[in-house]
Amino acid sequence: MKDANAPQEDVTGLFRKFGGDAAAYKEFAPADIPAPTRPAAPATVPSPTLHVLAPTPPAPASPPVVQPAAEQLPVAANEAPVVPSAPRELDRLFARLDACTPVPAPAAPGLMAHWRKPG
Amino acid sequence: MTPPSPALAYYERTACSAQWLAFNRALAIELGAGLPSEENRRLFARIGERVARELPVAHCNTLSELEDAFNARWEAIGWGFSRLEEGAQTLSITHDCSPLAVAFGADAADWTSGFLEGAYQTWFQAQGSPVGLRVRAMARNEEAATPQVRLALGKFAA
Repeated sequence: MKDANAPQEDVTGLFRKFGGDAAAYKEFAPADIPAPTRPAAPATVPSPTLHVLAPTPPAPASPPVVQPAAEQLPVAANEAPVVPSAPRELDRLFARLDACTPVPAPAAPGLMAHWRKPG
Repeated sequence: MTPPSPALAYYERTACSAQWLAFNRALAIELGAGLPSEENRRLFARIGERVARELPVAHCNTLSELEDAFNARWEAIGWGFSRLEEGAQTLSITHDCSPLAVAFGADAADWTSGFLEGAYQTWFQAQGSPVGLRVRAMARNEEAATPQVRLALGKFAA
């Protein structure tokens, strides 16, 4: 059975063997470093070098991200979402084209599409 | 075979950097060998949609403003220029000097035009174009030795 005072006796024995004051001995404990003084992790710098990384274990499952029901197509950032008071020329054009009878779709290129190409 | 005009020769030399030309041509050959043209066209249309979202155009009132807005975007990335022309049943889009033909080769031109379909479709929808109006590339003129893609916005039969 191991005595609870064994570590202290070991220390005393060491001081007895090699000299020194066993009573002044204190166990080392790392000092608390305030968070701002801790060295920061090096910033990631974009590098043109391609690093091939070893496969990493899969990330833990995270809750699914809910997507918006309908995606808003972007308009240039300097544009406020303005509701024009009068129909734009473009609105009239779109409406007119939308009212037209469907035209035949352009034919997809067939097997002979490249017949006349050299090589 | 007649030699290209100086302007066309200049375009062919400068439309795609040497750094990417061989890669793009090889990519096009692999895509052409691996997938039907229609699927490659849809793939390029999705790429075009994505690029158009990255390069949104301002809300425009007139066709002329819209053409200028399109061309400001194309000019900024060195992708040529386009003209919009209102027709009876469709809106014609004529896109000149895009790097597609040089970057991916003439054999891929039938489906690389999907990129422009997707880009214009996204831009028109952001302007309020109804979902029933689609942008489609028209059949190419095999004889025309110009890097031109003709498209149209309209209602097309399925």
